[in-house]
Amino acid sequence: MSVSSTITHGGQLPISGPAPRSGGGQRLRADLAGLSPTLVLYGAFIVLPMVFALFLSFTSWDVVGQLTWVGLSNWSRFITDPMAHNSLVVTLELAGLSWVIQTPLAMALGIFVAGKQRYRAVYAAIYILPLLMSTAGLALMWQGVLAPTFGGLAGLGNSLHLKFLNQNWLGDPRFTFFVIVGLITWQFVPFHTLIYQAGRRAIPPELYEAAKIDGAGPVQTFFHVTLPQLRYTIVTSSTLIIVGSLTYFDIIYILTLGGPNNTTEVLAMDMYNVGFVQTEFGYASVLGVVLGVLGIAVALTLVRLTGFGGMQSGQEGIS
Amino acid sequence: MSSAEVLPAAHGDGERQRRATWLRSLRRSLRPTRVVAFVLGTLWLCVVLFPIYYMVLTSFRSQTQYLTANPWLPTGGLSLSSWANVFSSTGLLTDFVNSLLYTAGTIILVVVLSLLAAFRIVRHSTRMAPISFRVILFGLAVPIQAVLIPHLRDHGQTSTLRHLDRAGAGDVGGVDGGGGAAHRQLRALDPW
Repeated sequence: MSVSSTITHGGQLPISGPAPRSGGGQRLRADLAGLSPTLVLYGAFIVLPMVFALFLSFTSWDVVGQLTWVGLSNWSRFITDPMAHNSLVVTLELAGLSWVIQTPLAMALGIFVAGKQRYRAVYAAIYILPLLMSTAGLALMWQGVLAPTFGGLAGLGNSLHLKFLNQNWLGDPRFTFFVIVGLITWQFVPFHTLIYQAGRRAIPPELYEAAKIDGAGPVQTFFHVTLPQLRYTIVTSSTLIIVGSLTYFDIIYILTLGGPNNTTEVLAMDMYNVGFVQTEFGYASVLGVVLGVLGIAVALTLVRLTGFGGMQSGQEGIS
Repeated sequence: MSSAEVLPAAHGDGERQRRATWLRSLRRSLRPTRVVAFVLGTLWLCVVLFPIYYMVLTSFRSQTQYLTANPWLPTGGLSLSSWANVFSSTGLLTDFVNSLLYTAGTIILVVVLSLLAAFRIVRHSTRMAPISFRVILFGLAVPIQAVLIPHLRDHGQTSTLRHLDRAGAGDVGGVDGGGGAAHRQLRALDPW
């Protein structure tokens, strides 16, 4: 307890203080030079299209035909559209469940591979493999594994007399949602494991020595040293998991197209169907704006709750 | 070792010490937390490897072997027909070149721009830097499909998108036992 409290309530000194007044013009020029290329690209590819999407949400447009102003009718359609409501719920469930599964798993694996044992370095190299695969390839690979009767999992189940493994994993509405969550976990846990591994390695060993001298066991050490020291890592990883799952699309598009019974119809999928299949880009833009606002709201909340945007170091008070 | 030969009296001591160190490290690695970590870590290893193993295994099967052999054991003979199919399909080289170009271009842009920007953000000498940082972070939250619709006005890029899509499929043409069926499968889903 004493270990963690000294760290969390240590002096709130910023890493580098605000700049003195003199030479401000030069610094502004340097900032402009360094940041403007990124901001220009960002503006052209993210901000402007977002603004245009907002504009499109008040119109009716099918790419080829005439663009007509329809006011709020797309938005009132969204409010009464049961399909959109279902997608919103599925999206939020997907993001929530992904976070609940991925965070502890990635943290445990990250701490595991941060250990000094040589076999763990070998494991870490293998854990990275899903990260190296293209999503299209990964999805088709799992389609083969999960296929009923001829699939790898069904075959494994037959050999081990575990008959429940032979299911129509991608066609049975009881499973599809959880299968998709599982595949997203399989794809992205390696990345978050890497983040947690780096976070764990950045914790100064002195803290563990101090905890050991205080007589802390492994569980106490975890809750009073590792966990508080990883808090910025947790914020970064959680933001990426939640925002990433809100906009997730690829695997669902390749494997289920939102089906069966719309169990995997996330907002991004619904938007794709409305826009690119039914070519109602006005209404699809409503869904896009909703998704964008949802993502920004989540990111903003996490940043506000944790002060991540202030970029404080997790090791203030330790020198 | 050579010092032990020179001083035979020290030999026993060194041996004992080595054994003690070895025993200590063995005991440390047999601690319950370490054993549990090893077991769970190995379990995740299997979860990661099983589908990849299945993909490699199935890539060496023909269509009939896919239907008749045990799905997850290396039995039922070896066939290179799927591999031959992928490499004889037209446009594979173009697809790879396209992928390389996209990758190289992206890496150069990302590294140069983020290096420049990150340097100014860490210095945060003016208020512009932290504000830009927050704004850029929110870019993560913007769904790519939402910003894709406005770009639709430029129809030219759909053909390049299609090439990229094909490259993705070409990578894994051997996935499906149907011999390059994966390739066709993805093409069938292709909306463009």
